[in-house]
Amino acid sequence: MKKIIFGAMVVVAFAFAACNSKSDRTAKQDHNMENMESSIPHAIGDDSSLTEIKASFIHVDPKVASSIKQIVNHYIHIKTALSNDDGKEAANGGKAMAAVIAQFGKSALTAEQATLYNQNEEDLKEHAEHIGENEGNIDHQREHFIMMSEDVTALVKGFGAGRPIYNAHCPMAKNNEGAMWLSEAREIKNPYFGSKMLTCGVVKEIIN
Amino acid sequence: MAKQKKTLTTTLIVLLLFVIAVQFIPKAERNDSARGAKAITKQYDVPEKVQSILQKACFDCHSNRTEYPWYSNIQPFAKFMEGHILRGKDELNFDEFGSYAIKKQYNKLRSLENQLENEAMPLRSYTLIHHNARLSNEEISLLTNWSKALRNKMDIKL
Repeated sequence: MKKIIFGAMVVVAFAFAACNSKSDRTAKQDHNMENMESSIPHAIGDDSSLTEIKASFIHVDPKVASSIKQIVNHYIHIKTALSNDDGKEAANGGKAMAAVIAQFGKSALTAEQATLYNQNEEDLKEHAEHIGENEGNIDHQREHFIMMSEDVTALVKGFGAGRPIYNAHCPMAKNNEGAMWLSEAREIKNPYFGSKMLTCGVVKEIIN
Repeated sequence: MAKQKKTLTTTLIVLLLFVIAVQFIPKAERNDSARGAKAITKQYDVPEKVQSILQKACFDCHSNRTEYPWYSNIQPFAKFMEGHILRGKDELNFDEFGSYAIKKQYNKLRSLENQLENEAMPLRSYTLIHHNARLSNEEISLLTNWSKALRNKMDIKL
């Protein structure tokens, strides 16, 4: 008897839980962004020496510059967290970055800047959200961090970051396919392996 | 004992009323936008073999062509499934693939390869019921090879 009543309560509880879990996601995504050509050079050169790269946009609106700076700061936050094997901190950085992207004032972008930003916006936001949602799954966070790094590199090479940024490469990441990341310091602290192989990697570029 | 029986009857009646009541929770519109010009099959070359695997293992949550089982009409299952499917479509919708920015398309394919190779997709909770959605190693490599080849043809500089 008690079992039956208990069972009934479980069913009711489940039903309530299911009803309350409303999805706040919107199904529609941005349109009209296909087929845009990138003018950004490939992030990783074949040359192993340190090359210096200057950000391509000379005039950047101060508000835009500040938003890009924030994106880079949150990126560095995630990078440092991953190199410390700290999925929770990485998730905080991801959420913060997604919030900045959501409020990015695109009206101050020039046409050329808008093209570059739009190429990366949708993709970058998604990686930020995924990293934000997966604090318990650092492997998955790192998977998205590979792609996030490419997007942020494209932005930094266009807009600059307000400080020197180093572009490092680890040939062993991604099952030996290799992957890059950005750092505020020249010292290697590998976000893809963390404590397992903290110093694996070579700095390839400095972006000013 | 009689008292206990009464409690049980009351509980069952309450439960029944509840189950009836939840049936009035509105169900979301389904397969709303038909597959249009933005479908991956309209934008890129998708061989028949690949398409049939996508159809049986992916499209229920990642397209506008979900095949809803009978129990999806009953609350609270409807609500539960709806959440899953909306999330899946939001993540990747093969029928709206063409509306993604090119870089996102490229990276969606990379994620597709990762998810398949790590056997994170199709979800276990899904293959538990949909046996034919369980993919063999050959099927997985067929999909990942197609995805890689497609990516290589995309005009993208990272």
